[in-house]
Amino acid sequence: MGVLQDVSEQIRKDGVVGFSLKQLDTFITRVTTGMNWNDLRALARGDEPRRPNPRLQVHSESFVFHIKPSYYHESVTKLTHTFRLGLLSTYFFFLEIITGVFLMIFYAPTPERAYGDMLKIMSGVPFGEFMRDIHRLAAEGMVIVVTLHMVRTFLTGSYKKPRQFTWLTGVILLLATLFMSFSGYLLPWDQLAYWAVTIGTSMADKAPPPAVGNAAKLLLLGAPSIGANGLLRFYLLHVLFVPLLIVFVFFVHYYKVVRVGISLPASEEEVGQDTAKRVPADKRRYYLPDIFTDEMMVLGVVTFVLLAMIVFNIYPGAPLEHHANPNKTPLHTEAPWYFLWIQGLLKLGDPTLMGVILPTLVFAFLAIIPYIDFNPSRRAKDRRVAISLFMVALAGFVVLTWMGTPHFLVESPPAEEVVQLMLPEEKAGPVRQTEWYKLTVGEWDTRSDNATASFELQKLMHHYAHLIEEEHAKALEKGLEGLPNGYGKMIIEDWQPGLKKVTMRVFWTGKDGTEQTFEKSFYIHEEAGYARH
Amino acid sequence: MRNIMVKLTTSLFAVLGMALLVVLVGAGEEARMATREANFEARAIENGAAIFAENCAGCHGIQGKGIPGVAPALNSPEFFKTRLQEVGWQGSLRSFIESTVNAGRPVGSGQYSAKMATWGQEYGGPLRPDQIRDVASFILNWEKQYVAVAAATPTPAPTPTPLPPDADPVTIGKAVYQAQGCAGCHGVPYQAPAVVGPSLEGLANRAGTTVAGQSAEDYIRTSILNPNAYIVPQCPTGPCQANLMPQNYGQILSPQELDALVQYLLTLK
Repeated sequence: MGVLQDVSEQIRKDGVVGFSLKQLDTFITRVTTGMNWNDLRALARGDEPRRPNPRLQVHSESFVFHIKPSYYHESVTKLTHTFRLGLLSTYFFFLEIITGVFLMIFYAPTPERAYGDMLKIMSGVPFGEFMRDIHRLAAEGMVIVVTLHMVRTFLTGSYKKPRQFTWLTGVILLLATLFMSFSGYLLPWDQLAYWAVTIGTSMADKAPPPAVGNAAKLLLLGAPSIGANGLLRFYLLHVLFVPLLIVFVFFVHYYKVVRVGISLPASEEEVGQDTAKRVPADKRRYYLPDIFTDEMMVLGVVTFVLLAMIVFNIYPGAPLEHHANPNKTPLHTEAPWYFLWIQGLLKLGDPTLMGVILPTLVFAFLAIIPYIDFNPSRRAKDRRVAISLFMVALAGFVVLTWMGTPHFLVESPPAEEVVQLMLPEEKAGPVRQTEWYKLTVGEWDTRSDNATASFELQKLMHHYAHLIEEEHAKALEKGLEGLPNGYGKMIIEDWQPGLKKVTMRVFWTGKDGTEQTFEKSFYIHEEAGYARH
Repeated sequence: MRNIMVKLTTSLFAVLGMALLVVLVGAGEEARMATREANFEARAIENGAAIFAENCAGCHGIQGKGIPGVAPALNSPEFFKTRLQEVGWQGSLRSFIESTVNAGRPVGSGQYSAKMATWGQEYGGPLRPDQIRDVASFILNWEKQYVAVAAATPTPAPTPTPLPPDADPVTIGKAVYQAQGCAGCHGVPYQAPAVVGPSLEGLANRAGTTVAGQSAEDYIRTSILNPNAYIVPQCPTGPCQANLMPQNYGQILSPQELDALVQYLLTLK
C-alpha cells in the first residue's frame, strides 16, 4: 500500500503532467544508463556535460558502449586519417548477417532445391531480390573496404610496434572476408557458382604434396567433385564457421585497437611511443557526442548510397545464371573480380606453384610484414622501399587482374567467340536485348542489306558483321587463320506461341579452301525479360 | 567537428531517405514479383525448348507433331483436351508429362511400338528434376496455340510454309520430308545428325547399288512404301531394326508428294 500512497502524494505535488514527465525522465535515464533528458539535449547541442560527466558512465554501464573507448586523440578523429574504414568493415559484416539471415529463411542448401529457391527468392518473396542485392553488394563492398583498410594501415606505417599483432589479426580477417565471399559464391548453384568454385577447389587439389592436396579437396567437398556434400559444407562454412571465426578474431583485433589506441599521424608519434594511449586532457575528443555522431553520419550516408545504388539500378543486381550443369563447361569461366589476379597467375604456369604456393606466400608475407620491417620510422620519406614495394604490388595486382580476364591468353575459336558475343550462353547479349517483336522471322545474311528486316534487326546484323571482322583481325594478330571471307547468317523462326528459335551460323573459308561453318541455336521467349535488364 | 546538430540532421535525413527507398521498393514489389515470375517461366520454356530439341524431338518430332509408329504428337489439340481421359490420369497435365518424362513408358502401347526411356535422373536417366519441369513448361506452352485461336487477341501461331503449286519437286520433297517428321529419326541431312534411323546423307550415291536389280529411284521409293523390304545394317544406335519405320506412307502421302520426296532424296549426294 505504501507505494500507491507515495505515488498519489507525488501526483498531488507535481500534478499529473509533471509526474508523467518525471517518470519519463527516469525511464530515459535508465535506458541511456545515466543520461536524463537535459543531458541528451546538451549532447545534441554540443554543450559541455555536467559534472560528474554522465556520458562517461554510459561507457562503463552499457555493453555496446563499453567496447568503444570513451575518448580519442584529436588527431585520429579526422575523417581523412582512417576514413572510418575499420568501422565500415564491421558494419558491412553486420549488414551481411542481417540480410543473410533473411535469405537463409528461404533457402535450402541441396542441389535439388538451391537454384529453385533462388528463383523463388527473386520472384515470390517480397523484398527478396532487394535483400539479395544488398547482401551481394555489401559483400563486394566489404572486400573493397577491408582491403582499403589494410592499404591505409600500410601506407601510414601503423602496423609498426606496438601494433604488429593487430595487423596480423587483420590479415586473418582479410582472408576470412575473402573466404566468406568465395563460399557464398557457390550457394545459388548456378553455372557461375559451379564453375568459379570448381576452379577454386581445383587449386586446393593442387596443394603440395599431392596427398595433402587431395585430402584438402576431399575435406572441402566431401567428394571428388562439387555436389550435394560440397554445397552443404560450403553453406555451413558460409553461415556458421567463418562468421564465428570472424566475430572471434574481430574482438581480438578490436581489443588491440582500443588497448594501444589508433596510431597518430606519423609527424606526431614515433614508433613504439605510447602517445595514443596517454592522451593529454586538452587533446581528448569524447566518443559521446563527437565520434558517435560522426559514425552515425558515415554509416547513414553509406547505407543510403548503397540502397540508392540498388534501387536506381546503378548496381546491376546480383547475377543468376542457368542451373549448375557439370556436363556443360561455359566458354569462359571467370573468377569473382577480387580473385582474378589468382586466375591471372594460374595462366602463367604450373598450377601448384602459381595457384597455391605463390598466393600462400603473398598472404604469409603480408602477415609477417610488421615483424620483418625494422625501419624505425613511420614517415613516408623514410619508407621509400616499403612504399615502392607497395606500388609494385599494386601494379602487379592490376596487371594480374587483367590477365585473369578472358582477354588474356584465352584462345577460343573466333566463330564461337562471335556467337558468344551476339548471343551469350549466360547474360543477355545484344540479340536478347533487342525487343522480341523486332526479331523479324526469316533468314538474314550479313552480306545483304536485309531490307525486309526490322530496323533494329538490321542494326544487329551490322553489329554481327562487325564482330566477325573484329574477331578475324584479333585472330590474325595472334597468328591464327581467323575467319577469311567470313560472313554470318541469323535464322529466326517462330517456334511456339511467344517463342522464337534463333540459329546463328558463321561461315568462313578454311585452310583447304572449303567453306567451314559454326552453328548454334537459341530459343528466346518474349517474356524472358532480358531487354529490361 | 563541433557541429553535432549538422551531423545528427544529416543522419536523420539519411535514415529518412533509406525509409523512402524501402517504401519505393515495397510499392513496386507486387508488380516486380509478377514480372519476375513471368520472366522465369519464360526462361523455363527457353530451357525446355533446348532440352526438347536435344532429347525428345528424335521421337516426338522437331515440332512435337509426333512420328507415326514411334511416338505420339504432343503438339496437338487432342493432347491437351483428351489425353488425360484416355490414360485415366487423375492429376494435372503437367504432372502427367513430368512423371512420364521422369519414369518413361516401359510398355509401348497401341500404334506406338517404341518404349519411352526413363529420362529422369531419379530413374537412371540424364535429366535433372528442374530440366524435366522446364521441358514440361515447353510442352505445355503449345496449348496457347490452340487456345489462341478462340481468344480475342490471338498470338500468331507458327505457320508452316505453304507449298507453292508450281514449285520445283525437290523443294516440295524437302517440305514433305519436314512435314512428315522424317527428320525425327533420320535427322536433317547435312544439318542435324540422324537419331534413330539410318542417316540419309549421301543416299543418292549408294541407293543404286544397295539392292541388286533396283535403280536408285526404285530403291528409295520401295524403302518409303515398304521399309522392311531391305534393312540397312547400321543405325546410329546399333543395328537397324525392322518394324520401326511406319509402313503406311503409301496411304499418308499423295502420289505427287511421294514423287517429290523421292526427287528430294535423290539430291542427297
